[in-house]
Amino acid sequence: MPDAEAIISRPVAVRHRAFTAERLRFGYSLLAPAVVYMLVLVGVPFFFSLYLALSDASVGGTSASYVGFANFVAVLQDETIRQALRNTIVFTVVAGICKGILGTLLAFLLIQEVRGKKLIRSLVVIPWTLPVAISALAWKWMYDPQFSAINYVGTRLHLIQGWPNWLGDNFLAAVAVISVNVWRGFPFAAIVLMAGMSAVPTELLDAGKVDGANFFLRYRYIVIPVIAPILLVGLLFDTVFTLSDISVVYLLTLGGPMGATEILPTKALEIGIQAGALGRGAAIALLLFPILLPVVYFLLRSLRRRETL
Amino acid sequence: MTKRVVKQSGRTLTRRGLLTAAGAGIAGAAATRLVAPWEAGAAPATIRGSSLRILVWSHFVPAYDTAFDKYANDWGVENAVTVRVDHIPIDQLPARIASELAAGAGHDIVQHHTQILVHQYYPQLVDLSDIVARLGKAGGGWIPMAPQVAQVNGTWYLVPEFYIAQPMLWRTDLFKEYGLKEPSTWEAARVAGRVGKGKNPKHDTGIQISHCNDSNHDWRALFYAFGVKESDPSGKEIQWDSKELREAMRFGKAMYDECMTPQVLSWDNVSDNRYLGSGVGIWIHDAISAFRSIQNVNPTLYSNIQVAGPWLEPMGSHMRAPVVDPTALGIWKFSKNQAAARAFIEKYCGDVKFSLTASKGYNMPYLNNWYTKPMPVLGSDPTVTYLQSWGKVALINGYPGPFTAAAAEVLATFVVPDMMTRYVQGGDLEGSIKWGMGQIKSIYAKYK
Repeated sequence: MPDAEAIISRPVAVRHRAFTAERLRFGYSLLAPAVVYMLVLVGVPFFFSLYLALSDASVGGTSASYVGFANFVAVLQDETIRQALRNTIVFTVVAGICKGILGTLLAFLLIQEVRGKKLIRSLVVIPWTLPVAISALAWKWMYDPQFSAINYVGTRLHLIQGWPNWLGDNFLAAVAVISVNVWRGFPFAAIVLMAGMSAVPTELLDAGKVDGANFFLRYRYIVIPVIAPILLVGLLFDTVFTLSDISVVYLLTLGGPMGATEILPTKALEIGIQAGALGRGAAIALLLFPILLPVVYFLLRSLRRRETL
Repeated sequence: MTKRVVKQSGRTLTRRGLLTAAGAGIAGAAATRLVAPWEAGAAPATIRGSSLRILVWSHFVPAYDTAFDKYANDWGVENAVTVRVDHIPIDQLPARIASELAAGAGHDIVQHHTQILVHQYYPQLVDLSDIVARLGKAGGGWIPMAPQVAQVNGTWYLVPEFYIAQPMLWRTDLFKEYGLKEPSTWEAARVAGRVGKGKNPKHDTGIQISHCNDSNHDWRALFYAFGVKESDPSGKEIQWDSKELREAMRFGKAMYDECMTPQVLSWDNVSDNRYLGSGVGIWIHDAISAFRSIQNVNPTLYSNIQVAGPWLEPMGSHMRAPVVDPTALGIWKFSKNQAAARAFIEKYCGDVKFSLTASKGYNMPYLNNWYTKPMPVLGSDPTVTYLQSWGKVALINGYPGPFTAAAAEVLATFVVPDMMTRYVQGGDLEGSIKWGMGQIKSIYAKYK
């Protein structure tokens, strides 16, 4: 084997370098498709948005001039956009908490051994699987100021006083929009949690019971630590989806009344597309980035730490 | 030497005769060159075998889509052009137009609708002034609003297609029952609403005060009627802040308090249609599709609805100011089949009779001659007969200036509905106006 002898005869350091370079080439070639995929589908749109946000691009122009951070300054000076930013954060946090609570409760119900378990599991995920346009329009009918089914049933059961204008009152409109987001999203949370819970070893739970831990203690000290990775990934997905969800607001209120339900995605659409100011529209959309970045960073770091434990 | 030079067909031709014939021939040829082939209804031969893609909205009168598709297809067969028409919901048009330009590919003809951004898109649109001139000449000129829709700095980059009138639709039976006169001013409409609201069962009214297109143009109709101006005629200087605005907003608040349902704070574009269709509303302010949709489901109610004239719009002493939703057709510069696109637009936009009849009077024309009474459809239907008077008084957003990028942003961000919402929900007049003017000034400053 002259080749092998030639290799063996080389100094160890040279051999190591050649081996490492070869491994690196092989490794990177395996990674390349994923990297290209990410660059094309995530990187290009992101950097294009960044380019737009730093320019005076408008819908009618094919070229644009660099304007630095002028668009960001302009949008942050706009009171209605600051309101949209606040709403976006409040909606995401409140909806996230509600989905967490309801999702957990539902997950506990779904892991119970009952007859028709599969059918029940299929039914509860319907809100999540329905196209958002259909479900949001159905809710719009239920919130309709004249024909509201919620008001009709609520007043007859004496649960509601008067005839609330769900989408016409600032507070109620915010509640209505968040409720639809929660209704659509909590089955997803439940499925994620259920998948995690089914992976919790029963021996651990039995040991907890033997040690006298009640339901909440078992949940806090046994279930949560075990399902934490899944929980964090689910939380990450939900945060991203909720922050960027335009459909519910667009179909229910278009940001009204008086901007009470305006969120950054709807504002970006209004200014970037409908008014044609692409640069400022992109800047509004990118306001989400500094919010999302630390959230994603801390969630992923927490996930990695738990995996190394 | 004889002067005979050519012998042809048994006739002698002198030198003078030859020159005369040649001159006539050249003049004739020149004359025919001045006229586009499709001016006489025939498309140029060069477009034969080509294809044409058209992007339009899904019409609120669905039968019109079917008729338009057939019209385009028939034209295509006649001229050996493969025509494809794509219909998309009106809300998706702005994003689609923007994405086609960004991609530099898409449809040859694109419909611009309601929020027409010709002041932004014009560098990428083909100059259609020649077509507009010929159509205008044949149609008795364009109505005053047409240039606002399609022209930038004197050049026509779009060809006006049709506009959607937004009249007042009122209940003849209730007006008669309550002893009210036919509504002829905003004040009369307010009185009718007040009387109706006081009845049992209640028959009040409403204009959207919410984030929707109807809210934008309905309140502008009232404001313009009171003399409010958005800008100077150049569109550069803001003129919103005025005593007329204060007067109009006070009137609007009084109308809200006295005769409207509070549901208007969450109404969308079709809520008022439903309100009229439910039999509650004594009047609404919307396109005629609102009562056309009732025609089959509730013929009795339909027979009790009348479209008011454009003179209803003012308070009486100011002006007629019906604000409409315009549409216009444009051709991208990147279109590879501009000749076919131009030929189709010229044929279709000149065929007003088709547009009026196929849309059952919904598509209002931009050409003056078509307002000669009786107009097709509108002239024979007493319910909508008043629409025949709209040509000279129709306005679009941005009045009296053009619909500039700044005016478009004021519209897109719902500044006017939000200003009204603040006021009707208990805010003080000056505070509400101050907020609104702050928004408008900030928007205009970005386009300086």
